[in-house]
Amino acid sequence: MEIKVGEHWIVNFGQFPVNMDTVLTAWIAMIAIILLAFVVTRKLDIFPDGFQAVAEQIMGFIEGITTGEMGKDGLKHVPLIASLFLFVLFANLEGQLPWKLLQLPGEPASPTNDINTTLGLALVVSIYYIGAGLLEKGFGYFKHYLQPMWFMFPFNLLEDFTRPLSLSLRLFGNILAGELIILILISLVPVLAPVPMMLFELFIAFIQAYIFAVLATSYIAAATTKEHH
Amino acid sequence: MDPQSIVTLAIVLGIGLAAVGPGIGMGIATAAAINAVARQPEVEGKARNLLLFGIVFMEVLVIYAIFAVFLAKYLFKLF
Repeated sequence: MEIKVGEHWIVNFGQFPVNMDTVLTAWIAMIAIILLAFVVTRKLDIFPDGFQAVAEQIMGFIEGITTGEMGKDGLKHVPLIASLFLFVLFANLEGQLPWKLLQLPGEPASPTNDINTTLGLALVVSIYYIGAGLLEKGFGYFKHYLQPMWFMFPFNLLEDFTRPLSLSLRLFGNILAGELIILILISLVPVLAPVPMMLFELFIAFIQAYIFAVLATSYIAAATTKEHH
Repeated sequence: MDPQSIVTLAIVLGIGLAAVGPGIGMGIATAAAINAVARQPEVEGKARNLLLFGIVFMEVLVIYAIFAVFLAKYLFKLF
C-alpha cells in the first residue's frame, strides 16, 4: 500500500484550486454543530433535562477557560472561543469515521489535517487578539511592543508571527501524525491492531481542541489586560 | 549510497533525533508535576493545567521536525 502525505482531492473553480475533501468534511463538522445547537435549544427550561444539561456543561467548561484567564471580562470573548473549541473538536473527531466506505476521488479525513484549515483558524485568532487589544486600549496597545525596553521591539514583533505559526502547526502536526500512524498500522495489520491507536486519537482530539481554546484565550488575555506599573 | 536512501535515512533520523530532547523535557516536567501533587494533593487541577501547557510547547518542537522533514521530502522531489 502506498502512503501519501498532504495529497488532496483538488477541484479547480476557475483559477482557484480547492481541496474538496477538506471543504466537504469542514462543512460536515459545521452542519453537525448547527444541528447539535438546534436540538439542544428546543424546549429551553429553567430545570434543564438531558441534552440541555449536557450543553450547559460544555458551555460552562468553556466559560471556565475564559474566566479563569481573564476574570469577568472573559465572558465577552466566549462566542469566539466556544466556536473555535467546538469546530476543532468536531473536526478532529471526524477523522476516525469510516470515510473509506464512500467511493470518492479522494479520501476525506479530518479537515484539520490540511494546513490551510489550521492556518485559517490561527489567523482568525491572531487578527482577533490584535483587534481586541486595539478596542480595549486604543493606540496604547502598540506600546507593549516597546516593553520592557525599546530594543526588544523586533522580538515582540516576531511573536505576532510565531504565534499563528505554532498554533497552526501544532494542530496540523498532531492530527496528521495520528492519521499517519493509523495508516501505517492498517497497512501492517488491518484487523483490530489500529483500534487502541484510534481510541488514543479520540483523546488527542479533545486535548488539541482544549489546547487551541486555552492558547487563543491566553493570547487574547495578554493583549487585553491592563499592565500594572 | 544513492541520494534516495540518504534522504530516507535523513527523514527517519531527523524525526528520531528531534524526539530525544522534548522527550527528556517532558519527563522532567511530568516528574516535577507528580512531585508537586504528591506534596500538595490539593493543587492537582492547577498542576495538570500547567503541565499540559508546558508539554504543549515541548511537543511543538517534534511537530516542527515532522513538518521540516515532509518539506524536505517535497523540496528534493526524490521520493
